[in-house]
Amino acid sequence: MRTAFSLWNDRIAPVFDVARHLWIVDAAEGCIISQTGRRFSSDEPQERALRLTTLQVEQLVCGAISRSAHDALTERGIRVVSFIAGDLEHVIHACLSDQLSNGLLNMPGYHRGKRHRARHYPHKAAYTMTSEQTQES
Amino acid sequence: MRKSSRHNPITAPATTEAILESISDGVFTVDTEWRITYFNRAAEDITGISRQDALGRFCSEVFRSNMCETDCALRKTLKNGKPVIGRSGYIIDDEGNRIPISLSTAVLKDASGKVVGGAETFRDLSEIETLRHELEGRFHMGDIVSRSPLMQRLFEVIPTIAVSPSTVMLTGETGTGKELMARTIHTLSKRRNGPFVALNCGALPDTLLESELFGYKAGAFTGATKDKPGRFALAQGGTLFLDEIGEVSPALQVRLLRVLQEHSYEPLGGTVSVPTDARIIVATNRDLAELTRNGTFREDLYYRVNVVRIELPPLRRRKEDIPLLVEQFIGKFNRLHHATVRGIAPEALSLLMAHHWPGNVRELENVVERAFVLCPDGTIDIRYLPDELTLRGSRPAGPTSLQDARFQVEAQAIQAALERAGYNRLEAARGLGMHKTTLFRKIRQLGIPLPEKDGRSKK
Repeated sequence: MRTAFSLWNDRIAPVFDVARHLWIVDAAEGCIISQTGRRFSSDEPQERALRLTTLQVEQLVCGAISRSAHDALTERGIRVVSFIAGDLEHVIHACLSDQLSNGLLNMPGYHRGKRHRARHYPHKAAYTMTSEQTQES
Repeated sequence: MRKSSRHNPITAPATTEAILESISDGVFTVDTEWRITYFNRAAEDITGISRQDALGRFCSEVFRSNMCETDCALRKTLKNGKPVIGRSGYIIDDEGNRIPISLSTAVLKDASGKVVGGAETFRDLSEIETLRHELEGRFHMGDIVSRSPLMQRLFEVIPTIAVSPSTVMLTGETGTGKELMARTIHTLSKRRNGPFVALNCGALPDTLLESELFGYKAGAFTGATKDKPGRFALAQGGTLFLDEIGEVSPALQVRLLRVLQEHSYEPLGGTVSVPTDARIIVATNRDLAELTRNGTFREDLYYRVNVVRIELPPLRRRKEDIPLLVEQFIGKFNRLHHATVRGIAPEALSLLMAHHWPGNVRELENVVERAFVLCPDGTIDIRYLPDELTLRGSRPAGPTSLQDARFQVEAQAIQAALERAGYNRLEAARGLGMHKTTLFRKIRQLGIPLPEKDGRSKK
């Protein structure tokens, strides 16, 4: 499995749409076989998707991503694990051990499948979350 | 990675807190390690992230702006001490929406004057952007922008033309945006989710054009080792745009006519007809009616493609669009070149308005792109315009003899006549009122370049 991680300052880049660097990891049975860095030269969603296709990337792990960039990738058959934050090393480890879905490395306020939209709460007092909290370490 | 207990939230005095909580602009502050220390109610509202989720986290991972990685305004402010006011950009919410914002920054200092972090205020521009788009929409049709009454009349009929299945013929001088119009028609049609396939018929020799259009079967000719789908097949369910249709040879015109009549074709080397439902849009910068009269273009094909005709006016007839087009190109090249050109100087714009624009919108776009190469920021002024637009271009570069001047004028006249006649030299000689042998002699004498394929083969 070839996975690309969008990279900035040794962490997952906050916004994939403008991220300049990629860290590409080839892994099998939870172990890294090889890893290397690559660059993006365009911010255009289709060109970025084409770049990943050319690099034979099967899965992308990234931070925030716009809908157009997300759709351009999924149309090319690339699986997207988005709204992830954290040190690259931790994220790679979580990815290889299939723990990215547990929410520990989600971006602040992002609850996969549970949209905690502060803007939907009409009164200030209602900002207290009542559903499952993001776990903090 | 997670919240840090060292990054304590800022506790503002009650009055300040009340003010910050009541305003509609988002406000957050960061410490010197870029972790959020304050996050007001409007910031929660605009980002969709609650205060408790935001506090203690890296600002880039909360704010998620297009500027964070390469062009952070707060980083610049903390570096040089100067505030940034009204910088535009976008943030991404957790549903993947790009929210347009404008932001301003300031340095935060403690009582002793020591820098303890920075503050960023930001404003949601979604409503303003929506209103702006609505206003601009009046002058937009797809990617075409125009205030000209000539184009406005086209804008009124194009949606109706787009939804009809009829073949469309686009006419107009080179550079008037025929392909852009074809794309717009495709985008507004029911076929918008299908492919848009464009082919320039004048760019390929006949044999290649035929295989490009209809495809071929394996074994159709030497080197055809496997089946290759043609443009008609690729445009299935979508639109096929045939540019420079006037350049197609008589033999290929017959095949095209058959496809348009029967909605089917046979790939080269094939024995079975393949149905096609591609919508056809053709374009030409030549006078097809005239070509029909002189026998260069088949009359039956002319009537078959001339179902709905759209004539795109040259730029010199819609000069009121020049400021709007320049603004559009500046926006485009700012994005493409990562430049920060603010606009064009009034004197430079006056020169653009005075030009004749033989190359139409394409020429204008090239002029703006050239200015970007020379002037990546600030304002485009006269210095960055090409010589032919300024007085510099109208003066001869150096002393010129009368004979040189005559040769120049002759060469220009012959070149223009040849282009008008599609490089048919006999026709060009007639147009110039000289014998063909005189024309041949002058072409050699003046060193006028000719295409490898001359205009005789079009007859």
